[in-house]
Amino acid sequence: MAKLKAVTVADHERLQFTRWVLFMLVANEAAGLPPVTRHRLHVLLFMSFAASRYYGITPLRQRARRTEHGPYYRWAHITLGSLVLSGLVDLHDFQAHPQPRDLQFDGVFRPTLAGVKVAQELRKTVTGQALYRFLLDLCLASARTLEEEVPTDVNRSPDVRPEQGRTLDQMLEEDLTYRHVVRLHNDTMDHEGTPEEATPTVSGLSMIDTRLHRVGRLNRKDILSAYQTVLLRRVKRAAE
Amino acid sequence: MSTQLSEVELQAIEATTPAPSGKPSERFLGMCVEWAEEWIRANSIALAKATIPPTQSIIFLFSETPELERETLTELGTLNERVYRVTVAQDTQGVIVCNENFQQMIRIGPGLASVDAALEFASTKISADRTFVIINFAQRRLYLHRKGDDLTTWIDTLVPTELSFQDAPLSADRIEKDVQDFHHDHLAKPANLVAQTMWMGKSHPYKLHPGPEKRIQAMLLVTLKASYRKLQVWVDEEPQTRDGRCDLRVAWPVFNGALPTASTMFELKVLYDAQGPGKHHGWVLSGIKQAEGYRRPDSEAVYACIFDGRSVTTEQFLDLDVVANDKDVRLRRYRMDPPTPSQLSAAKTAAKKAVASSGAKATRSSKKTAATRKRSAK
Repeated sequence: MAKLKAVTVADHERLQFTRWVLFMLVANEAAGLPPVTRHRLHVLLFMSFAASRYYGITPLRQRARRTEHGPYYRWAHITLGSLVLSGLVDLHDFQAHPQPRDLQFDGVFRPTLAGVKVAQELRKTVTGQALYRFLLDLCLASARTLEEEVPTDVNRSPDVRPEQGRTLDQMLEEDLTYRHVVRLHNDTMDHEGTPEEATPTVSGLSMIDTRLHRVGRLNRKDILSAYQTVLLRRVKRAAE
Repeated sequence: MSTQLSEVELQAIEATTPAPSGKPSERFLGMCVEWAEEWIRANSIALAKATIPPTQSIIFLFSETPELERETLTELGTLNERVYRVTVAQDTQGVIVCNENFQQMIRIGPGLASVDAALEFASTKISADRTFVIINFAQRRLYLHRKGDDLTTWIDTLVPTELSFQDAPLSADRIEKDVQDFHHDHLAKPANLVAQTMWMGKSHPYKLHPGPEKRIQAMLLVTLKASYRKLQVWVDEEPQTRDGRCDLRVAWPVFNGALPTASTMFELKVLYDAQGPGKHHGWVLSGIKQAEGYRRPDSEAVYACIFDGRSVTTEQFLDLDVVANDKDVRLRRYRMDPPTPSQLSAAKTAAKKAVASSGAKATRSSKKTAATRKRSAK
């Protein structure tokens, strides 16, 4: 008789990472944001880990390596490969970057309808529902910020998506935790401190929460949106 | 840039407005009203000159991911034309599949001949488990279908939402009057259209469909949002506890005030027989306490609105008026007359009871006879 073997912590974390990436891509699609590039996926993952405790969600214990292309999660690539090969994610504009350490490849990723349906099933658990809600709120807040802060003539343009994508990349790189770790010059891009310690992102969100609570704004989606509005205004100020 | 937020940055975001709230399909409904407001503003001259064809109608169909799902909707239409939310083009019409924030809008079906044609299309081709909205521009009316509502009943009890978007000065008293009017027009009598969707009907007197507060909340939200220009109406999305919280928050811009907005909050509670008489007092009290908890620095007033659908309403819990006054909560009671059993169904029920009782007697008597026979045989 085969031995019963418990799922290892590492295997479990890989499964959780796969769910996080699939949810992220589906949430991005549901919020109508431009399709995710390799670069943006890593930055989105970074920001979602930096902000998740604001929703009471423990971030995954994955370290982002510092690369010239921004933060890089090794597991994100392996996960993306699995999702693409299983038909849950569609890959466009594939371009290989053979590097011995990073296994990097570029491309544009969108969930397939099968991926959306799998995500719908995974959302039926309590944890899955809470995680998807957080990631959807994050993406909806990005969409709202872009809509309100990007000039109307740009939003009306048929080529709005690439422009939105560029603005989104700039905005995500203004995240408070991102700015904090960029200055540290370490090999990894992790927020130092105890896991329970609030990241600069969570501290910023809490400050906005307190401020907007006074006017009855309780929905965390609106707080995320206000936070990203601040980030985008910083991008604009820096460009002036 | 600093890794902390400055006071100037925090002040600047106070003017941001709340996004449509609720579940994704409910946020889609809020977005439909926002889009209609923008369309009317952008095309006001054409509307005033009556150059908008009376037939021009739209069906907005909700999909989480329209660009991916479009291929499975070929029965509804095979077009694949992108529509831009911000253009609010005067000739917008047809069947348009949209995601919740209208960032993805795809026209899959051509223009419809009339509102009737749109209703016919919806009732024959769209599944009842879909949320969709029909808008007719010349009438300035919107008809919303929430997923799960039976399509035949929906058409029979069609509730139009008037897209008036008035530019009137607002106050808590004015919004309260709107809630009163909403109750009078839509809920007070069982024949009123929203009431018809809440009560199970004459064959189940005094019984409501599940989640009555949520039904009132959804319709009231859309009605208020469509009544005034730039009115912010939203609900609390945070995890729902088991205390039956069902709120509605309304805010409007204030100029030259200490805060950028003024607001009022409503907690909605429905009383009905199935809750059991022991629960009603606590239900009203919880409404008052919840309303008190909603008060914010910009609140003009907070309300606990009790929609009373009980069969016997002699007990009005007048002691709670004192509690509400102490907490500065405006307690408002609205009667919802339940549908009474029709004479025909009452007669049928009586007949059934009679048959059941005579059947039982007959069974008992036949058993008795058999037993008697048995004894006699001995």
